Amino acid sequence: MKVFKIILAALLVILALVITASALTTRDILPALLERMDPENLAAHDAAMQKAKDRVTTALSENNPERAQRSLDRYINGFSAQLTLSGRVGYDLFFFRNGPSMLALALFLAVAAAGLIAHALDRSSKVRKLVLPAILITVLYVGVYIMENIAGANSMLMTVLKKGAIYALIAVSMNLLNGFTGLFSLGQAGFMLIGAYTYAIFSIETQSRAQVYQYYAGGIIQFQLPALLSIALAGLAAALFAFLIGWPVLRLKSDYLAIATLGFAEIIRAIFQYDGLGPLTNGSNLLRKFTVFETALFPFAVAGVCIALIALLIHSTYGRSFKAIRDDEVAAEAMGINLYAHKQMAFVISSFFAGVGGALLAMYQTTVQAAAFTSAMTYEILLIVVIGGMGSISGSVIASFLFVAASEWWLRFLDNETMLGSFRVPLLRSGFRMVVFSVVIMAVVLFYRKGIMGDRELSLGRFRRGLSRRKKGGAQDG
Amino acid sequence: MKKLIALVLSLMLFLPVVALGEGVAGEIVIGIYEPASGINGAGGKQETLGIYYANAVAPTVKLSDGIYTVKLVEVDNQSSNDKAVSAATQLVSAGASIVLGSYGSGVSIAAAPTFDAAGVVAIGVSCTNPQVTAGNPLYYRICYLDPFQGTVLANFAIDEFSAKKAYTLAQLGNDYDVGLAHYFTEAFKARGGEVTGETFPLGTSDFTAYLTKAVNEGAQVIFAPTSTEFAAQIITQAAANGIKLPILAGDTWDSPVILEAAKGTDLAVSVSTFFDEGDTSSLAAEFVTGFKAWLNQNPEKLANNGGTDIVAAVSALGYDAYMVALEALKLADSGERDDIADIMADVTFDGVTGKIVFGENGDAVRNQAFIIKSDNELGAWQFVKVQSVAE
Amino acid sequence: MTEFISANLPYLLAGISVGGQYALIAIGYTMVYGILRLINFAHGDIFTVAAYCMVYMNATMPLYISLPLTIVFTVVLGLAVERVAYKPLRDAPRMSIMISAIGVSYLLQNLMWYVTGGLAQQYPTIPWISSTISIYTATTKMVTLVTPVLTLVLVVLLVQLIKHTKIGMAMRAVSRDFETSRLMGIKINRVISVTFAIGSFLAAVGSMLYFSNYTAVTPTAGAMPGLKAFVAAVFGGIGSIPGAVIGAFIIGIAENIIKALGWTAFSDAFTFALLIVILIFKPTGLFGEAIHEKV
Repeated sequence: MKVFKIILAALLVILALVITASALTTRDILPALLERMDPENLAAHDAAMQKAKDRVTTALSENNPERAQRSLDRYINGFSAQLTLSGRVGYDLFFFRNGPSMLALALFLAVAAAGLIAHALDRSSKVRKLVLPAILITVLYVGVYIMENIAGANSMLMTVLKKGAIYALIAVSMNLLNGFTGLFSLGQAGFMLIGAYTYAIFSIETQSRAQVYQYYAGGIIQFQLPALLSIALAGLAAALFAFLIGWPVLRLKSDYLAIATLGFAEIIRAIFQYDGLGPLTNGSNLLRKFTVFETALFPFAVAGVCIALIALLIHSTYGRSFKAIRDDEVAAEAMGINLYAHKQMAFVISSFFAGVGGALLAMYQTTVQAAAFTSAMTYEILLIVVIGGMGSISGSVIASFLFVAASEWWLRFLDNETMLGSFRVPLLRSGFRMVVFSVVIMAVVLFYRKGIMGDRELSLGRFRRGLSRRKKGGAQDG
Repeated sequence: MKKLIALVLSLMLFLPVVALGEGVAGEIVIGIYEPASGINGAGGKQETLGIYYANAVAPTVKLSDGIYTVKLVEVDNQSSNDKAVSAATQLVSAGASIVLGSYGSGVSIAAAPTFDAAGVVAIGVSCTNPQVTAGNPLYYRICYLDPFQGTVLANFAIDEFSAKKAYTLAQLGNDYDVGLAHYFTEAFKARGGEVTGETFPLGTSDFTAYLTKAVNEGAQVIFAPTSTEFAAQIITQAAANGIKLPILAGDTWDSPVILEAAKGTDLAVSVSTFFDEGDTSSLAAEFVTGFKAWLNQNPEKLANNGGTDIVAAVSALGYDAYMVALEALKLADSGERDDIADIMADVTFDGVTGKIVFGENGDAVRNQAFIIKSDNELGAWQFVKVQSVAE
Repeated sequence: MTEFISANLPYLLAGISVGGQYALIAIGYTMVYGILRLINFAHGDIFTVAAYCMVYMNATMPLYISLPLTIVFTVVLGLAVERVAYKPLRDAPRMSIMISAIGVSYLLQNLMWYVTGGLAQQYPTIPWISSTISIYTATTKMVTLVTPVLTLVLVVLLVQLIKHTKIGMAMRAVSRDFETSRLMGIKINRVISVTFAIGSFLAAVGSMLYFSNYTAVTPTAGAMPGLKAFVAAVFGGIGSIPGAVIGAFIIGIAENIIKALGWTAFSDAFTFALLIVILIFKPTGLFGEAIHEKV
């Protein structure tokens, strides 16, 4: 068993090295690939092939690698059998073309390999507990990566996965506040708005600023910050506002806290739409032309790191204090927990991650406008948290993917008028999807009150035990 | 058990690995990116009607390698910018070769990066804000722009009503409203007038305060380029409060909703638009008769047009957009996105709304707007004049 | 002086009119909160459904049938919502029932989108109250005057009901102490049903007045008035009916003053700012009673 794990780890390391190598050299393969297009079939598919080749070369000379890639893909898919072997291998390596994300992939594989080695050598249970989840997460990331290359970056699947990851982060941040600390806050949309705007304002390309801020003479900020720094700033801005708002609001009882935070979200929205702040926020107009992510791995990576941080927080002493506050405030205070300080901490941290989530949402949407961040958005996140189970991080993550997939993709067919032969199926027209969706949500809220996961986390141990119980007894409840 | 189901369901997410293909052989897909609900739902439905009528008139396109049927795939962007990305992605993954839309500049601007990344040419039908095409190399447009429209209306206000002071009302958070009001203000001030401007938040039903402000400021004309949803409120409340000022607006007010609201009142509502139903040139007249007949055959289509068969300008533009798309397909001689992107700038077409030639930025070269006025007794539009900017 | 009045009279009239309409909705919120400690987020949407009901019924039936029928339908809807969405969760933690309310609101809004296609409908004109009159220098609709009068009449009747009838006493008891009232033999279900019925009745009347004034009906037309009415209820002291009414009028008038001063972008935000100020300095509202938490 030990030897097997070490061999597997070694294979992963070799794979990681190969991917790193090709990540650093892929761009140069393209012209070589062009030459390897089989000359035998040139005659047969002359015009089409020549056109593709021309288009690829022009695109490269115009510095438009996306267009080159698209033309090449279309050609290769049509004539792949005609490529020479070396051409085929080169293309397959070129397939994994996005440099930074390939390097990230190599890193994940290296981490998995290290984990496997540790697992083989070290007997301590702490390491064992972490390794399996780490490997599963790596598999998930690799899966996303491969899916993106097969289905295409613009497909519905990838759109759903990206949005799902972003909503997962925001749902977990809301769960931290509502499910773990018991503070019923409805202000999430406001913090997402702050995060989104901060990110957008700082990362618009300098040469497009005049155009975007055309009604405000170019705006007051004239520089552009790198993406990760802007995301961090977005989180910090949201946290700062949360700190300021927390002072009056956290003393209120739960219902009033909900309405007060809802009110603050509306006030924030009005401020960001205000014409007087136009040179900074562009008033009523869209913000666009800022840095966006190209691959689905980016939101997954950022969201993953943030969710991991939140999970670490929950499993620390602070997390236990939050749960104590949720269960019984008076008793918690009697035990010596500083109510106000801990509530403030939960509020600020949750808003920080909501701000980061807002920045990711801005990158996903490629445009930002204050009018979209209404209380309806907060309600959506709240519903995701409820469906997943208040007090369960994995529940929120799973529920967010299900929610986004169902509302944006699986149920879309309900919006189209379909004919069965010559018979018009009744009820199916624009808007039906949302009705069905709301009914499903009401059913979950009424009948599955605890949500999918209740307040427990997804755990392999429990899963394995559950399976073995079913195998053995059959009489047990799953 | 519940957890197992949840796990299985979430794993299923990875199963439908479908890069939905480029349509059946012999078929070309044209995407319709329009709102069918939300504040711009009324106008979006009318524009879509124009496109469907055009498809009924010309359902196939002849390329050098055969005749292809044109399949229309429609997606509803709900007039909201955050739904724009997923709606646009749907069209892209349905294999659209060209996309037509949208009514509403905000959603068009929001979807532009998605179309750009996929290499799909989009033809803006009635979105007039300059930012739709500026900086978006694959977005073209067949209607005129807001700077032009704003100047036209400012000139009209001064020439027709001798106005020295104007009051603009725009919806907070709406690019189209705020942009057009901005251009109107600039043009009005350039001719020596004074302008007060206000914005109202989404969800406002009570416009008395704003209208009273207009009167108190001594404005002689009200410019309210809002969507139809608020237009009805503004008109009925202006009539109820006895306000006699003439009201001007842009192309969004060319709708039966406004006619119905203004009927029976004595308000002067004047609107700039892209098309005049009474145009006697042969192309336009043929379109109008054909479109009306097509509408009247089907009660649901009539309902989508607001319950009447008055031809909205955006329907005419929708018709032209579809025909321009067919021209592009013929010129590219293929349904491939990159081929179409290569030749799009050279497409020309004689449409029912005038000759369409693409100029700088992908905007159609247009220098004429029609001004129409509501006839409150008949409940119909009355043609006033053709206005250009030079006047 | 006269110029000042004639310039600002329309604002005042609009404020009084909209304040009265908010008051009718606010009473529904405050009564339900007093008894169930639940913020009925769906109340604003019931208000909108009543308006759509009127629009569709009036298209096929004469006014004197559609009007009472709308009221009946709204009351039935309110009772149905309570029975289906709130009753099963009565013993659940507070957050669950509030989430259920949000879910119902979501469902009602989406249903309205679906059924009506999202296009704005024109509210039918109810004769007499929709006619225009002029007060001093301002022209306005009769509704503006009818609203405060009707509101006060209804509120007085309601307060009489609560003070002098058996069911009113039951309602007061339940809002004071839910568990004990149950133990004392008060039929809780009946009390709650009556509360919702009264609240929905007032919402229906409120919608008739509101939409006679602002005639375009859209699925989201009731969301903002609903929220503002709730703010008014909290402002006046949650659980207190006269408080809700006074709070509503104050908010209606203050909103229009803000618009008159030119800060139109902040007219909605101002209402919430007012709420937060009151929650910080006097959490029980203007007329509320302080609740002491015993450990």
